[in-house]
Amino acid sequence: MSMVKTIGFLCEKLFSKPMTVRFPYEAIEIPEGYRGEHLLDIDKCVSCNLCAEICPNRAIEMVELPEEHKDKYPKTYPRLDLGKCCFCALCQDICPRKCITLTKNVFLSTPDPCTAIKNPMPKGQE
Amino acid sequence: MNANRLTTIEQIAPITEEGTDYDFYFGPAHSGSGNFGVKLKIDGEKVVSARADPGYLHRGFEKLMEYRVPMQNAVLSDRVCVLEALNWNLVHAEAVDELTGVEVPQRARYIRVLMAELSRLQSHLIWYGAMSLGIGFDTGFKIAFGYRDYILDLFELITGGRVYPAGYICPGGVRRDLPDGSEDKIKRVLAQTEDVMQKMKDFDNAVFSSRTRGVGILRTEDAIRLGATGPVLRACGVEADVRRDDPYEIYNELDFSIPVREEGDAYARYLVMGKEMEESIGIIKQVLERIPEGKVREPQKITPPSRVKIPEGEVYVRNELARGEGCAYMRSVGGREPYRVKLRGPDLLHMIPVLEHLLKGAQIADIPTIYWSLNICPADMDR
Repeated sequence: MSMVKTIGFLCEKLFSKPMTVRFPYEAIEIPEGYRGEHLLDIDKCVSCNLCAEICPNRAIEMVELPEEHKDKYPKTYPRLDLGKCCFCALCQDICPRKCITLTKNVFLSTPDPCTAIKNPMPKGQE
Repeated sequence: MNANRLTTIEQIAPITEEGTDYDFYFGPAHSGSGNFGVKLKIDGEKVVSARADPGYLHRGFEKLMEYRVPMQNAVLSDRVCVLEALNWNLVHAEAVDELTGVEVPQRARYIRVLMAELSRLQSHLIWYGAMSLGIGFDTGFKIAFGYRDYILDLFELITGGRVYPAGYICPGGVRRDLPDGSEDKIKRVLAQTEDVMQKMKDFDNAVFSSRTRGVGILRTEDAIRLGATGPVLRACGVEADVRRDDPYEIYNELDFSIPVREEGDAYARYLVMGKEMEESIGIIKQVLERIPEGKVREPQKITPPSRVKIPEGEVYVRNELARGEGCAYMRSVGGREPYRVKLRGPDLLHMIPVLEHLLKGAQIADIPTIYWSLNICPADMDR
């Protein structure tokens, strides 16, 4: 009897969908509110330094922009080191102007460590 | 051919009177041990003595917490035990709440219990998977880890991360409310978990019991003497559960029983685990029925570190984690950061005195079964 049950179970599983997906051709959808790559909008930033202060890993440093942008952006703005970041989203939660938001992008592996640093730049020039 | 020139096995390994004794290292570079080792002295197939070899995963949380404000420490508390991050979040958050005297909103208390029980479920699935792997039952391992992923999907939806919730249960409540549609999804995942539990029962007689029954028997007096807690202690016939003995959050309002077995062997521990999963599902269903509306955090915004002040005092809180009793001692002298934090995890005692005691006299083939039946976690032990 148990053999009949086992064969029935095997036949059922033969035609059912597997638990896994064929990554990278398909992927499980990531829900809203996921803590992925940061999106910086320095136009909203008021240079309050709270994000750098709360960061548990000291992955955020307030830096000045290059000389050519200093007229429009004279203060200091957050520079993120994704190599140090633990993606806790405390910076997003504490920011009074929603300057830092965490997106759903999780594809962050890179062969070049320099690209893991996100410098504050005006929109379109990141 | 000259027979005298042949090398015989006696020449390579001469048989002496002490010839059957040897040292055996289980871990740390072993796929079945985690970042932990046991130095064993073996006689033939039998373990003569066992000496635990910890320290490969020490990260110094207690010291790190002395340099961070409580909200940052909440994020850090995830890492104490990878397999039950939310439970450790809760231990830390309760210690801070008791020090600061914050009144946690009622909705947050329900969400905390909900997440802690979901975390217990996924931790027990890991336990089942690891124990299956220990006895060479790969199917059990794959099924348990596959179904655990459905619970991780829930964590991803609610906390924003699959394994590390980043201090989701934080001082003052929880970091964000349950998203829309999460209750239906939780119910779906509970149904899937009941499905995997049925599968576990089906596998039970055929495979599991024959390798675990009568293996690693821990007597009640030894369990108490060596400091066992949680499911390991309950499998020895002691009805001890912090959720019942010293209720925290809303556990005193919930209806649940505490599974106990008398045998004290690996099979009894597995049975206690299965019953606990059933109880956890019952608790989650009750929480979903009764969860009130309202705020989830007090204060609602994160206080900037420069304005944080922890009132002077000291607290000691204890919680029932999936593996046993997890406790936190916290002392403040009125500064931003705690002056001293001491974390007491269940696995230090399970992995050193209890494991050494159980391995003595065991067969080599039973070492992984005994090891994983204790539901161990090197991360929690070393901290």
